[in-house]
Formats: sequence, C-alpha cells, structure tokens
Amino acid sequence: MTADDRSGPLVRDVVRAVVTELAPDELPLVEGLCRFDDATVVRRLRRGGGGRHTPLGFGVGEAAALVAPVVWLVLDGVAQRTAESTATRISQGVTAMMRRLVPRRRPVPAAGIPPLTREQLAAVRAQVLATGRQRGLETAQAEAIADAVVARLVLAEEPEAPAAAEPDPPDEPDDPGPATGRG
Amino acid sequence: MAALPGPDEPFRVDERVLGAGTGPRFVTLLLLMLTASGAMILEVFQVMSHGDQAGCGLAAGVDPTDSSYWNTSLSTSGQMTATRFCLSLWAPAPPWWQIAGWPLVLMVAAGLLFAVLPLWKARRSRVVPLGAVDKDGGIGSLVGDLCAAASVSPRPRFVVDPTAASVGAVVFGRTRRPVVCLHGGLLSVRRTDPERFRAVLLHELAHIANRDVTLTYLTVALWRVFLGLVLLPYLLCLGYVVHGIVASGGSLRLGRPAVLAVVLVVLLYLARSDALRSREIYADLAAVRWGADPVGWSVTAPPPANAVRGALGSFTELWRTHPRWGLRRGALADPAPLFRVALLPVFLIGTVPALAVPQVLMQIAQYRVNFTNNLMTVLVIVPGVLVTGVVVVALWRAVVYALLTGTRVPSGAWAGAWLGAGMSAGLVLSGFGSGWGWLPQRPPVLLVPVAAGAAFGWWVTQCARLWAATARGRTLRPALASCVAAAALAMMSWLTWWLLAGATSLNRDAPSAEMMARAITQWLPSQAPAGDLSAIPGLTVFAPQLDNIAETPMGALTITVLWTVPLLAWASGPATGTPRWVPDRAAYGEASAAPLREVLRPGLLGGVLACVAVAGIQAYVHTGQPPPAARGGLYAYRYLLLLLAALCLPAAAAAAVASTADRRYRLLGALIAAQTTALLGLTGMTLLVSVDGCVAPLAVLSDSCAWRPAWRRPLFPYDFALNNALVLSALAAVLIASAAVLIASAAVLRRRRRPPEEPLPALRRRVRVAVALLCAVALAGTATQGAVGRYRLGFTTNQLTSQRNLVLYWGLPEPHLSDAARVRQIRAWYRLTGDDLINLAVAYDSRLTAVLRAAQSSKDPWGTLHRTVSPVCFDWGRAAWFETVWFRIPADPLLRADWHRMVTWADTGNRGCTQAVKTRDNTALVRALRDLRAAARCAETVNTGIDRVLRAGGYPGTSRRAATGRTAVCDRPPADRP
Repeated sequence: MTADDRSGPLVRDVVRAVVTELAPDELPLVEGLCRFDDATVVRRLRRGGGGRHTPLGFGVGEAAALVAPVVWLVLDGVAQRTAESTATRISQGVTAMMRRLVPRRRPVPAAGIPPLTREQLAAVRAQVLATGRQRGLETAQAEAIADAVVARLVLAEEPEAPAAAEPDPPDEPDDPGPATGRG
Repeated sequence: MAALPGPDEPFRVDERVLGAGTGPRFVTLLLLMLTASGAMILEVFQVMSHGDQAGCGLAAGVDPTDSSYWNTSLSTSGQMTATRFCLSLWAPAPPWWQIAGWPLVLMVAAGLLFAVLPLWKARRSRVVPLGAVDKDGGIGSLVGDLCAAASVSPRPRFVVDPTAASVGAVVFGRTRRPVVCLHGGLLSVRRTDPERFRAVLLHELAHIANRDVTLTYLTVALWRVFLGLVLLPYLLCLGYVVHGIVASGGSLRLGRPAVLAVVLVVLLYLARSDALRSREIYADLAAVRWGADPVGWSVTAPPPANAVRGALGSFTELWRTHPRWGLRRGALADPAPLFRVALLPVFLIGTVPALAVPQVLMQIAQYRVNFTNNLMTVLVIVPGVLVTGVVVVALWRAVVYALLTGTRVPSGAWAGAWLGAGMSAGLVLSGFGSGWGWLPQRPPVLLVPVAAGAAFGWWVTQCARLWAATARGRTLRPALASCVAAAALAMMSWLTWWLLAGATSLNRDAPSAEMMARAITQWLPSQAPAGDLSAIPGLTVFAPQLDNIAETPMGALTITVLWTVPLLAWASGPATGTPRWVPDRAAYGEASAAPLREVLRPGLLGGVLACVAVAGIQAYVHTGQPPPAARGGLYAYRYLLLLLAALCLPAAAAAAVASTADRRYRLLGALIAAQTTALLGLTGMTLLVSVDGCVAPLAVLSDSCAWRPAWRRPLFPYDFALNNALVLSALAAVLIASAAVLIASAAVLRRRRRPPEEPLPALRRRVRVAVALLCAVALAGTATQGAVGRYRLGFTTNQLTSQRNLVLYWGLPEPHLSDAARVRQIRAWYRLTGDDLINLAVAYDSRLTAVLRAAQSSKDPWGTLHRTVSPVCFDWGRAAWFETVWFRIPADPLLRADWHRMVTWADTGNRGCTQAVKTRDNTALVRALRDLRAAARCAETVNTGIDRVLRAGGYPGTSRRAATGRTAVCDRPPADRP
C-alpha cells in the first residue's frame, strides 16, 4: 500500500491537524511519531512503549490519555482496511516482518486515506469513540476528537471528489468496511 | 539539607547522614551471581562429561541410603588415593580453565552487553532526539533549568519516546554518559501538570547525581547474561537429564542441584530488585531537595480490596524495581524506610557466605587442592567483608535515625537473628555438612547461626550507639569504618569456625568417651596413666567443642577486637555538646555513657580474683601430683579444665556486675569486664605456669625451678587455654548480658542512674592512656598468638589429617546395609576397576604357571627358573599395590579379608622371590612361589564370591568364570604342594 496509488490525505497529516486543534501539547509527540514510518508507529503504539518495570524509571505510573495515538491507530486501521484484501495483508505482514529484520534502503511512503462514504465516516467516528474510551479518554473529549477527525476527512475529500453516492458492495459479507478506492 | 523546613515543619532526617551501603550491596549481588553461575555451570559440565561419581562412592563403601554427612567422609577414610584414582578415571573434573574461565566469560559478555545496551535503547527506530520535536525550544530550556537546579553537569543527552503513553521517563547509559528518555505521556502533561513534569525529571537527574546509572545497568547486563549463558544451558542440561531418566524408566526425584538452582535464581532476582528499589527513594528525596513538589508523586494507585490482596501486593512488591507509591510518598515526609533494617534483604545476604564458600570448595576440590584451615580463611574473606559491610551499615543507619528522632533504638538482635537464619538456610541449600539429605543430622544445629547472628546484631547496634555519642568529627564514617573492620574480623572468624568445625562437628553423634580419652592421651601423653579420662562427666560433649575453639587461630584476636573497639570509644568520653555530625535542628538527647570505671573496676577486680583462683588451682592440683612420668593424660587435662574454670567464672562474675553499669550498653559492659578479667587472669596464669616448680606448693608439672615459657611447655597446650578462656568468657558475657536484659525487663533489676560525674581532664587523659595501653597489649598478644597459630595450623589441617582424626574418634564404620545396597556396592567395586585387578592377578598366575612348566621341561630346571621367573615376580609386585590404588572391598568382610590376603601374599611372594633369585636359594624360591600361587587362589576366591553376590542380586556374573573346588580356596597351600 503506498500513497502513489491513492488520493487523499495522509494519516499523519490528519493526526497533526486534529492534535493541533484539540491537544496542542501533544504536538512534540506527533513530531516525534512522524519521524518513524507508519508501520513502526502503529506497532509501537499498539504495544505501548516505555517498559513498565524499567529500572531507574520514575515507576509504574499513570498513562496519559493521549489524543494522537487514538487518532493515528484508528486512521491507520481505516487506511489498511480499505487498501488490501485479507490475503494480501497476510503477505504484507510477512513482508513487514522481513523489513523489520532487514533494514530497508528506501523509506516506505506514508499511508493515505481514500475518500470515504458517509457510512464509512460514521464507522470511523464510532471507532474513534471506542478506541478513545479504551485508552482512557473521557466521553466528551472522545466525541470532540471523533468529530474533528470526521470533519478533517470530509474537508480533505471535498476539493477533489464529492462524497460517493453509493458505496461499493463489500468484498466479504463480514468485511468491516467497503473496499473503496480499489479500482 | 538544602530544603530548609519552616519552623513548624517536623524535623526530617537527612538520608545522607550516613552512607547507604549501595556499593557493598551491588558487589554482594555480583558475588551471588558468580556463585550461582559457578554452581550451575559445574553441574552442566559434569552432566556433559557423563561422570560416575556415585559409582566411585559406592565402590568406596558409601551407603546410598544413608544421607548423613559423615557417611561419605568415614567411608572414604584412608582410601583417598583410591578415591582420586576412581574419580580421575570415571568422573574426571572438567579442565580447570572451564571452571575458572566461565566467570570470566560472563563478565566479558556482561561488559559487552553493558556497552551495547544504551546504543540499543537509543536506536533511531525507537527514540528521537529532544531537539527534533521541540521546535520552539521550550522543553529544552525547561530541561536546562532543571539540570541547573540539580547541578547535573555536563547536561545529559535527552531523547523522546513518543510512543510511550506513561507520564514518566527513564535514564540509561552510564553515569558519565547518561541518556534521559522522556516518555510521550510526560511531554503531553508539561503544561497541565508542571509539578509532575519537574518531579519526574528531577528524579531522573537524581539517579545521575547519585551515580546509580552504571551500577544499575551493570546489574541489568549481568542478569541478562546470567539468563542466557547460565540459566538457559542449565535448563537444557536439566531437560536432558530428566529425559534420560524418564526414557530409562527411572523415577524422578527432587534433587538438591535443581532446588539450589531455582532458589539461587529467586534469591538473585529478589536481591537485585531490593538493591534497585532503595535507589528510587534516594532519588525521590534528592529530587525534593532540589525543589520538586511532592505533589508530583501523587500517583493514583487503587488501595487493596482486602487483606489477602494487600498481602499479595506486598509480596509482588518484593519483585519490583520500584517501591509502591504510598511508601514513596511517605518517605518524602519522613525517610524512615531508608533507615529501617529490612529483614528480607538481611536474610538474603545471610545466605551468601553459606552458599558461596561451599560452592568454591566444591569446585576447587576437584583439582586436588588440599582443604586447609588457611584456605578456608582466605575463602571467607570476601563474603565475610561484604555481608558485614551491608549489615553493619544498615544497623548503624537504624541507630542513627533513632537517636536523631528520639525514638527507641532497636536492639539489632532481631535483624542479626535473621542474618543467622539466612546462613542456616544457605547451609541447608548448599548441603554443606549434611551429606545429601535435606536437613542436617541434628537439625537444632541450625539454631546456632541464629543465636550467633543475634549476638552479632546486638553488638553492632550497641557499638553504633556508643560511637555515635562519642564521635567528634563532622561525619560518622571513620567510626563506622572501625566498627565494620572489627565486625568483619568477627564475621570471618565465625565463618571459619562454623564452616570448618561448627556445621560439621556439632552435626553428628558424640564420639564415645573411650575414643575421646584415647585422643586426649595421644595429645597429652602419659607413660603411666593415672585415672580414667573417660570418666570425666560430659567429656564427649564439651571436649570436641573445646578442641574446635582452640583450632580457630584468630578466635582470640577477634574476641579482643570485639571488646577493645567499644572500650576505646567508651574511654574517649562523650563529645562536648551536640556531636558535630548531628545535622542542624536535630534534637540530640542521648545521655552520655556511664563512667568507664563502673565497667573497668569489676573487670580489674575480677582479674585479681582470677589470678588468685589460678594460684588456688595450682595449689589444689599440686596435692594430687603424680610422679613426672604420669603427669599427662587425665592429670594434665583436668589441670587445664580447672584453669579454664578459674579464668571464666570470675569473668562471668565481673560481666554480671558490669552489665548493670549502663542499661543501654549491657553487652559491651559485660564483654569489656569479662575480657579484662580473662586477660589479667591469663597473664597471671602465664607467669605461674612459666615458673612452675619454683614455688613448691604450687608446682604442678615441674619439680625444679626454671623459666619455662608457658607457650613452649610440654603437657601444657597454651593456645588451648588462651583461646578457650577468651572465647568462653565472651560467651559467658553474652549470656549474662542477655539474662540482665530479661531480668531488667521484668523490673527486678533496675539500677539507680546517677548523673555522671565529669572526671578531671588530667585524670581522664591518664585513664585514656591506660586503656589504650591495655588494648594495645591485648591486641598485640592475641595477634601474635593468632599469627603463630595460623602458621602452624594452616599446613596441617588438611583432609587426610581430619580423616585420620575421624577414624581416631569414631572408628571405621561397619554400616548395616540392605541387601540391595550391598550388591550395588560390590558391583560398583567390581565393575569400575576390580574386574581388571582380578584378571591381572589371574594373568600373573598364568604366566607363573607357564614359566614353571617351561622350567620343568628344560634340562636345568632350577637354572631356567632362576633366569625366567624374575619378570613374573616383578609383575606380582604390582599386585601388592592393588589395595592402595583401589578401594577395599565394601560390604563383605570375608571377601575383603580374602582380597587383603591376596595382596599380602603377593607382596611377600614378590619380595621372597626377588631375594631367592638373587641368592639362588631354591628353598626360599619354592616358598615364595607358593605364596604367589596362594595369592592367585585368593584372587579366584574373590572372583567367585563376587560372582555369587552378583548372581544373587539378579545381575550377570563376573566376566571371568567362577572357579570351583581347590582353586577357589583362599588359603596357603600345604608345604608339599608348590
């Protein structure tokens, strides 16, 4: 999956925009995250960096309820789902693992988000709310983030393509989202 | 004390008033790690070499069902050559460089890992430099301010882990080149929660300032290397062994090596976590001193739902590198946790010497290193000093905190008892002195270290209190150092005694009185024994212990140091006003110690009494003086015991009086008085014994007058008297001081305290000089005696000597073996080398027969025989050594006797044959050849006997067919049948 084969904003750009709007204190974090490629960011965010029992740390304390990881993880999920079928994802997982072991020469382009349908946007919103709750955000804050994310995605789509009238049928009956941008 | 509290705030003790003892703790951890590695790797090497140590034990006659320590020792007595031969053949030690090199490999690997770890942690795919995310430089300047506040210079490198959501940070690298990694969560709260941001950063900077970084990451590196290079191979090896046992249908048994490994790993982890945990509180306190707001530590941790969860929480905390938040917040207000003696670490550290020393002994024993007293003294130095350093520092901190806060000073006995309990636990784990059973033969022996530890802790605490009141410098460190030195000497002496004698000799049945009497008579010979030594009541109980005390050469010096160090503090008198080491605003309300004369006077009077008692004993013994030839044995021994009583009873009386002088220093008072008495008494005894014979009514050993130094007199073991007098009077002092505490707590004995009178300065100076002189004389005398004793003992107390003594005291065992054990022992004897020896003997006989036949068929039978028989006789000469190079036959006295006859006749025959050939004496040659034939028949008899035993036990018989009839009778043939 590369940005070449898709039009739409990059995940990191949307994250930066949302964080600038809602949690400017997290901007240094986003700057830091942007220095890694998407796969690294997602892998490390999922794992939750910073060892819990590291000697000479400050101790096992509270985790801050951060906006940036929530937005990044949800949007990356959207970008991934809309891009590939399950089979290619598996092969991509193997490739990603190989890439982790063998340093790559060329930087992998950042992930982009294709235009989304209304339903997809609603799904994204729901996902942001769920992930936010899961990561300790308050409901009001999570809603504000969800709205901001959806607004960013909608705004990003407008100049190029108005929202698609009809969503494409999903590949699989249980596929979480329609595979837009595939043709 | 940078953060000066306001007038209304409670006084907070500066945690830096004394060193934290972190260095010794980490070195002890290192020692424990090396010990664990050594133990586990040795096991791996032994499994890899497929050695058959058990087979050698069986062949030597060790009963596989008897787990006692003495089973092995007594069975191998007198068979050391055979044991070594067997082990070298069937269980060869791994090359020495493997054992010696492994710790080196670990260290090098740990060093490499230590160098690589910071690079790995700060790799580009994990963290980003602070500058890269701090576009406006706001965070940088904030961090710079904090570095300046903490005086951390040069400024460490700062990086950011943007994926870490925790509101924390971590420092890694090394103390000189630290890297502080800020977590993403921390950066996000820098504006909303600036107190937390400052607290976290100052905490990390405090780790740098406290020099924790290098030590911590060295520990981390060592631990990981241990996991990879020791634990992993060990587990693989264990799996291999278990697989082998299961595959062969055997049943698994929980062996000591497996348990030891598990316990060592747990110990190591707990010790590591504990050492790291204490550093966190020091860092917290430093951070607050630099201006961090304690609010920064208000992390919400859910309180335990119930008592069980609370207990579980306390247990899990032991494994963590950070203390729980409640404790940390509490420590910010009152750093009591840093001054409290934590019992678990004390217990853990107690196990170190009991595990480390036997481990090293076990490793070097494979390389025929003689197990001497000197070797033991060298081996206990490092663990002794480390354990003492850690425990003494902990106890001193507890005392100083109590003195500064006006709370109750702990007795130290409880903590000391835990130290001793750790030693006992270590002993059980290492199996030292207990064979392969789990518990020693006499489990109460494990209480001895507990009692000794309690006395040790008590002494250290009282010394700390006394020194704290008398120290005049700005710091307590010199006083602490003197206490550590004295206590380390005591610990080393204790360990030497305990590991050489205590753990083993207290741990067996007492020898019979007759055996003991025989040993004493050999020691104090008498040509005409008068009286029965074995009739002395309790001889079998106390005599071996007195011998052991006498053979601990540094014992006298140790005891002397233990009373001179506090005496010097006591004599220097209280510091005028508040001591200078006491931080500002501390309410130092410690009253000065009772006047020294209240302790020295009973000691001096006791000394005079002891001298009189010694003279009285001389006069009493003189009344029953036998003729000179009969003055050894019972006479000399009874004289010695009476002298000991004459020295120790007045010492005990003096201790009883002095223990009431100052209730805070009961032990020290009792010790000083008892030892002063014993020292004066010993001086009197030395004089009287040296001029024995000059005063007729006091003559005991001599009839004529001459100067015969007591330490060089025959029949008078001076070292025995000196060591035992000092050690026993010290023990008496400890017991009496304990009794005094118990009685005083029951409010029966309470002495009125008078306000101490200030002696005149001139008088005080004179007293100080006198005390210094007394201490110098005592130290010089006992040090000289100790050095001479060490020189003398160091070269004689080896395994062979101690085995000889064992046989002397206890005799050779004739254990009641089960049939199965009997068969196994005989089979091992036969299988491992016995079969070769029997076959060799039979082969010699075949050659002899061939030579005889050739001679018979020649024209000149005698001439041919004289020419050809020599090499055969020479071969038979080798058979004479069969009993030396290989074990006596175990479990079957008849077979053993036959084998012994074979050897005897082979030897006689070989000598006779060589002589006869030389002198061309035909009759002698026939006699010699008859002996050799008899030896061959005995070998056949043994073979037949073993064949019978093996078949009865369900094994195939011997490789050589069992002989029958006349050839299987081990007897000398009649003279008419050569």
